[in-house]
Amino acid sequence: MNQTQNHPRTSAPLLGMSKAHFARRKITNIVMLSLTGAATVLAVIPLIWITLYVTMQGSRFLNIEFFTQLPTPVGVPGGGVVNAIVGTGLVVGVACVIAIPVAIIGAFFAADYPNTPLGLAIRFGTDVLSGIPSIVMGIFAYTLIVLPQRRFSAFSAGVALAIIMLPLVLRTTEEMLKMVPRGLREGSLALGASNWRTSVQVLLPAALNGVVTGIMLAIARAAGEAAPMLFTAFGSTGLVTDLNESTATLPHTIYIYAMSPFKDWQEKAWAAALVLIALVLGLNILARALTWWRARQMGLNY
Amino acid sequence: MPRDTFEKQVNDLKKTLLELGRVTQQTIVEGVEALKTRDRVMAQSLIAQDAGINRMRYDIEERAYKLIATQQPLASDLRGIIAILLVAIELERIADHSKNLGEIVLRMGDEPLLKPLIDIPRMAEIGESMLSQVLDAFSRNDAEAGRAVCLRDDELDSLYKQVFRELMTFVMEDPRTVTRALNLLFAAHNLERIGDRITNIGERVIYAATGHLEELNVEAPPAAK
Amino acid sequence: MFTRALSGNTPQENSADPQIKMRVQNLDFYYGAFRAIAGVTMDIPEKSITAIIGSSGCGKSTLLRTFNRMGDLVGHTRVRGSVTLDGDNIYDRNVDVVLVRRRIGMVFQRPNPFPKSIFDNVAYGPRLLGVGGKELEQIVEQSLRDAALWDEVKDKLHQSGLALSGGQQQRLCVARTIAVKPEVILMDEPCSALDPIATYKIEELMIQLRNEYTIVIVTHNMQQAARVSSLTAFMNMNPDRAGVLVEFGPTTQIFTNPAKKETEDYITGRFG
Repeated sequence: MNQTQNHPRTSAPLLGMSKAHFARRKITNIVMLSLTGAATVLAVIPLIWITLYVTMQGSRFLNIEFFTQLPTPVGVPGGGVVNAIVGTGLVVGVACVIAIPVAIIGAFFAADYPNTPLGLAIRFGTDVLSGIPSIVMGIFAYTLIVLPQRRFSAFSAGVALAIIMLPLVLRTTEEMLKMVPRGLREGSLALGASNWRTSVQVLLPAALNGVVTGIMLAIARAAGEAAPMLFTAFGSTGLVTDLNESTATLPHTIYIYAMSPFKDWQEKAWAAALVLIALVLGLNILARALTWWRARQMGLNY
Repeated sequence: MPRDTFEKQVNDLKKTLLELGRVTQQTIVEGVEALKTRDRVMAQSLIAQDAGINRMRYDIEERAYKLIATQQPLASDLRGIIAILLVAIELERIADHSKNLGEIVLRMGDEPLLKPLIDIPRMAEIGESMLSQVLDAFSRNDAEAGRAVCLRDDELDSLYKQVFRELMTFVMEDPRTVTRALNLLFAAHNLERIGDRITNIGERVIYAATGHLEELNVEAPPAAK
Repeated sequence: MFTRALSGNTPQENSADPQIKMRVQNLDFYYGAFRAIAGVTMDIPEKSITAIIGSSGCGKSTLLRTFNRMGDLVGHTRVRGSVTLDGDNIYDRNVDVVLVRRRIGMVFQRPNPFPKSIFDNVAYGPRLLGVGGKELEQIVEQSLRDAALWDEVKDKLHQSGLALSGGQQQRLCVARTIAVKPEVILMDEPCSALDPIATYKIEELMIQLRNEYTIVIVTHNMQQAARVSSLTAFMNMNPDRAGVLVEFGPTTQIFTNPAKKETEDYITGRFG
């Protein structure tokens, strides 16, 4: 390339840019765009494929009964999985009640006093915890609660899920708190508010969006865990509202039905899978909608 | 490096002011020369020049206002520019006094001098020298030199009193000489006023250099008669 | 003093008029081993505006933050010397920092209203003190009036504070600060993020507030310091990069005839 004339940067008119340069830039542009586009499509394909497939398979067997009836004995047509749905709700509810307060308080501490021994311990602990396989959580809850009580229970399932949810919620809450502009914290402290008040009355509301999103994502994750359920909730054919009773849950039910040799149970498994996916997807969408709504309400860029 | 633009503008302004000072100095010389030689042509050119001097003063004023508005001078910069402004005004007034000398020459016409001119040229000499001194003090930002110039104003004042007494004597002896006496008195008065104005300039030099405003024109009150 | 309720009944140290509200004596401030401020001594008279000017990094914001102990927040900081309010050292061991900050408020460089309604922003401080109901409403209104913001927001008190313009947000922060009726208001370059008109409004506001409050303002805008303050302090970095107080005197004198050449050079823009 002749550098002394027509250097694109130094020659004044745009039109003086050499054609070869321009063409090369265009080609590079197109190639890169195509590559990134293809990569994106590749990444999204599994999601779409799974969603479509499950929808196709499961929607055939979805009806009102499915949501309102208890399961019927094998071979008898009809029936539903209301017990699993209610059971999931119960177990996740218990997990939330245990995990969320602990996670939020822990997050406050880790965000406000990051360099203290306790703060470092919290960080490290949650990192490790989030890496532990969920089946181990199940065994842990089994050993801690099921064995001494000598029965399977929704409560123990809730505990297992709580431990799974805890690091997720704590981490996102901590990150959200740290993302709150420092000026807000200074502004509150300068008015004579204590650290604690500042965290609760100023930082948490400011971070609320992100915190709620984190919670919803954690719920979506916990709702889908099947392995811990094997050791804790253990399943049931009846509708259970007592925390101390064993109960069916959606993931567990899917597992049992899918592994069974009975065709109508397998069909039900597809339907249940669809319900579960719908639940997870729904929670994700809800989390986003909340973020958008709150941002609009606050008028600005939170 | 910082404020190079500003410093250049101030220096240019100072140069213009010193040029105005030089021109003003010249008018004093010409004024008294016209008086001594009764040269009416010189007197007229002196009077005509004054318009140009006024223009120079207004030019300096405008540039000073612009500098203040656009450069926000502070501390010594501010004092300096304000001093330039006020000195320009004083110089223009000194030139007016010189112009008055020219007008007196025209008024005198062909009438014979009442007495030979000794003190009046002496006053002009002192005035011109004082002006030169104070402008030098100004360009060097020397407060002490400025103060020293003002002391010479006393000499000018006593010369003026002397001229006044002499002329009064003439008038008392022969009242018909009053017009000629007054012409000479006015000339001396203008020169005395030039001295006062130069003292004002001296005050500005001190202010620009030190930030203190001092009244240097203090005269002893006339003895009660 | 600070551990009891707010009273301020200690005997005045300096009986020259005007009264001295805050006195800094030989203040050193350390970030770890680094001395950021060295040997600052100055008296801040009450009900007036004192300006602190100086080049970037000379420690003026750091100095300001020692006045309400916001410097403590960074961690690993150490203070030598004293900063007293009405004669009491705010760095005393048994002093409650929270009470210090109620008596000495701060307005920051970038407006930082809380993501709450305008009303809740101003009410935040008084609510900390347990004020509620009608009294709270009155305090909020009065504070917004005193901050010259009432007329612009009285119909939208429940809108978010973030929906205001930059200048309005800053006045909201001022209203929020004065709602707890501090005695001293510290302002850290309060106008540097604002447009010129908003800046002038804040300056006018400062001049009105000075009748009731002692104001200390850090600014890198010399003309602003000249416009609003009655005393000006000029700080600079010494060879060890610590901030020192070079000159402290009446504003008119500092800006027409400063005593130190360093000050003169900074003010005329010959360095800095």
